[in-house]
Amino acid sequence: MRKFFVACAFATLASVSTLLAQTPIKIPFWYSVGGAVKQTIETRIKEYNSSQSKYQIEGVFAGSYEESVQKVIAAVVAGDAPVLIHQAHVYAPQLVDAGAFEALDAYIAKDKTFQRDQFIESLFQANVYKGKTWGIAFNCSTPIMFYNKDMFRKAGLDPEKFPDTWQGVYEASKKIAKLGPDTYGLTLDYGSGWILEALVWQFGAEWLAKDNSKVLWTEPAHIEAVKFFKRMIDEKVAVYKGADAALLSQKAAIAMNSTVNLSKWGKSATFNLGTAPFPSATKKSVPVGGGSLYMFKRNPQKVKDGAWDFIKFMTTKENQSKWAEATGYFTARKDSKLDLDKGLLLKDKRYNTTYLQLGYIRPENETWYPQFLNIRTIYNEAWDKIMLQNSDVKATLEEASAKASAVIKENS
Amino acid sequence: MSGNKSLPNKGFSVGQILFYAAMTVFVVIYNYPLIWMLVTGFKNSHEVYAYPPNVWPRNPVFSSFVEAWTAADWPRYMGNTLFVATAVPLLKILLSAFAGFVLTYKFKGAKIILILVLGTMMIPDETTLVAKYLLMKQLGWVNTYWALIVPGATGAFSIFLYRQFFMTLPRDLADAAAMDGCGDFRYLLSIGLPLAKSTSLTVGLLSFIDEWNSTLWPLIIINNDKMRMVQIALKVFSDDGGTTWNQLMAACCFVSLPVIALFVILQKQFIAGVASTGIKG
Amino acid sequence: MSPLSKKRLKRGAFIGLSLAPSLVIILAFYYFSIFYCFGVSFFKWNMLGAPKFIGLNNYVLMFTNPDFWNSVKVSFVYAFWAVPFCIVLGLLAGLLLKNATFGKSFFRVMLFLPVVISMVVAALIWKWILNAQAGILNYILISVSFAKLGDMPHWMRWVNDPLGGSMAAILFVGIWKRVGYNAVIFLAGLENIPLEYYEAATLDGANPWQKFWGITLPLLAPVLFFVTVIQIIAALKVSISPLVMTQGGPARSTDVFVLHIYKEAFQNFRMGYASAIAVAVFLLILVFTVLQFRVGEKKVHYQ
Repeated sequence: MRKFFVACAFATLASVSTLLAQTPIKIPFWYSVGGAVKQTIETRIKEYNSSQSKYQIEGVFAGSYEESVQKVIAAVVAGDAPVLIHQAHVYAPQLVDAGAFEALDAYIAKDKTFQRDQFIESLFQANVYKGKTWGIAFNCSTPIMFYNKDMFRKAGLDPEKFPDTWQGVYEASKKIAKLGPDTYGLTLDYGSGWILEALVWQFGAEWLAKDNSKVLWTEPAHIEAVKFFKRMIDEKVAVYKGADAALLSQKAAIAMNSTVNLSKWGKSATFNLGTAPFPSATKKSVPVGGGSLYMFKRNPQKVKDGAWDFIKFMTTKENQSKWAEATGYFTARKDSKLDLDKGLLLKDKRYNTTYLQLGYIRPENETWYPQFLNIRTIYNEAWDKIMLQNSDVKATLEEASAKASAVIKENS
Repeated sequence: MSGNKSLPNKGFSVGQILFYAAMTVFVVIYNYPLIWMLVTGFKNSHEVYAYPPNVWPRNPVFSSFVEAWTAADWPRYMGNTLFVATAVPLLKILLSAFAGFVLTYKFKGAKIILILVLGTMMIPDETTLVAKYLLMKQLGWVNTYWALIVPGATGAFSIFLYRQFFMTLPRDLADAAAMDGCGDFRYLLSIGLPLAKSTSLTVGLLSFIDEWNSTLWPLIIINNDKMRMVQIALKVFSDDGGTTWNQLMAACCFVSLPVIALFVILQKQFIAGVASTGIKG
Repeated sequence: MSPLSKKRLKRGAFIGLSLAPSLVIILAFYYFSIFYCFGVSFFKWNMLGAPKFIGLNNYVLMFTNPDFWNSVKVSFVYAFWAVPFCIVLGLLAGLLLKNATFGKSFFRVMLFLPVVISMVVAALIWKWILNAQAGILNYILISVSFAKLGDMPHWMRWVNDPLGGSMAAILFVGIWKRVGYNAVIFLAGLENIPLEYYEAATLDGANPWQKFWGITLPLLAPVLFFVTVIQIIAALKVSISPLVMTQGGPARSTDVFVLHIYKEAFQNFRMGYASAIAVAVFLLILVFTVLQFRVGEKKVHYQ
């Protein structure tokens, strides 16, 4: 009789504990990619959830990067932040400074299966701040040059050879502008503003001091860079803003934008669309943007372990390859890149252009300045004034610098 | 010679024909942007950027509509918006009718309350957005239907309209009902409201359209994809690489369809409601 | 309890319950909001930290900030153009509708259609129409040789032109969307004018011009005044068209009040500062609202 009871007790205990063990730990994950890419992420999440029973990732589409950062800040304040987020690198500094994120170095050190050395070093380093690693690179992209090969040919330029200096682009634009009235060579559309950073870097100028104490918009090289582009606009060989419509309606031949646009523009273009790395004036330099995976600190350890497990999953060689193939973002891993070389990049060489720039990428907000976006808005406005209102380059940049200095002072 | 019954009794003069023709051309041209929206929706992604632009799609396709529909969770967004756009009018009718009715009585404080109600018309919504958002945060209503529905569940204009209407009801009606032992509540419900059908329709319609088209408040208070409203969802077609105009215009078509349909069907009520805002002053 | 006082109690309860929900909502979301706004304007608050009391600092910042004054200028410029056009075109449309004895409802519906679609949709459609490179308006303008090819005037860049093009763009949408609304109100006002006056004038040998100035306009004056004030207030509150078409740019050329508040609060996270601007705008609009009420009151007593 006693044996029976013992057996029952044992069985109950065993079943209860297995049941408890089997209730997967829920991990809310907020991501910020929409459209077709959203479906790719959802598929990955489903795959992960069905591949193991310990953790359950709940994916939530939080809107664009701008929308999701507002949401995240509100949630952090309210105390109900998720566990994992996918967020643009430029927004991370505020959250790191607010103590919201969990540093990942301990996880990387402890976990032998995480192949740290397979990551493209510069992309990995982009998430290192004050000596700690805050996120893992996930969907990175660089801007590239897009151009209309047919218009190049018509203008007497070699459609397979995109100029590698800005002077060359200027000359090409002059020829293309002659193709017709209201036709331009280059289009200057800056997106969030990162293209402008690229342009000044390529002229050997800088944007923000390394210690975040001041902006460097009135340095001679910087002014020269802006003047160069103003000249192109004044001479009507380049047009400011409206790049997508200008390029796709064949009113302009060259556009600069994220490599992620390749699929969209490739689909809509009624002409031969080519891609090329950015030219340079004195040096080669492009920003790398995009999002990383970050973990929130205020969670129980076993939840965070689950989050780490998912981060690992999303950044394995296979998943990075699949991700890059499906979305056009580039992979953060060297070994995935080799996969891609045999796959997507072989099929369509244009997707490789962004990788050609890997040797000289710099993160957008590499000094992790929390007020980066406020300052960027001021800078973008200065360009608008210069290009569209014919304001004096030096004076406008000085005015903008003063405004930026005020913001820096207010927040120091 | 008395009439040929088959002809209208006044023929149209040349001047009149020209007038009506001109008017017709004018209103069609005036609505050209809406026609353009439709035309663009039927173009494919190649044709939409063609220059010179095609006034009529060379190969009209449905693909842009399909792509637009699958680009975002429209059934959910439309469901969200439909829910809010029907809850608010219903609540508004209920709350405003009762408030408006009761304000026809003379009781202590009636004047003050009336002033309070009408006074809200002096407070433009747009200036209290930040404060309302912070208030919602305190209430824990951010990203909830409460935030979308409750603030709009009553309105000075609607209360006023109902009050105006109920004031036109003859006193004898109320007295007779009272004699029959009919309480205020029953009176309003079984006599007052049914008579106020026209006002209710006006309040309901204007409110539905307002909620369906509402943009600024949902933009601020909702940033959760599950609760997104249709107008905000239209942003999904634009990003750093530009806007996919064919899909966006297609989406604009199906986002506008409910309000246009409602308007066309109930135009008389609509127009009467709008006109009444002018007369009341 | 006597039947009378029981009745009074019942009535009192009925009054109370009928008013309670509306009053709570009104007090909380209208009156309390404006006081809360006023209160927050004395703090510095970026949502991530605690609010910090800074007294009148936000107001000082605001009055010394050229961006604020730019918003004032932009909003008034917008109102300056929008109001007359909306009124005059609305009145014209109203007059045309009045004279259309046949098919009036058809024309009225067609004019009103732009009113019922959302501002977002309207702004997006116009943004596409006004696209500098691929939009249909520029194509038409160039075709009729309005602009020398290749030498496009700056305003034809529309939403990308800070020197008037962007303002014109949002004005187009705003006016286009509003004319039908005003037309309906004016039509109602026009139809209220007794026909006898016109008949008497015809007998006196008056021509249409004289009839308009002598009868129509004076009798329409109250409605005209009312619509004008409403229009001014609406113009000062414009927000969606610049948000969708230009985000307030380029170079802040369309940075109207509401957009400025929105950006300061929800993009720069400066809650206190944004509240100060909101208070300033509220007081400004209050001036016009009070005016509307004064005249409205007079009208009511008139009738």
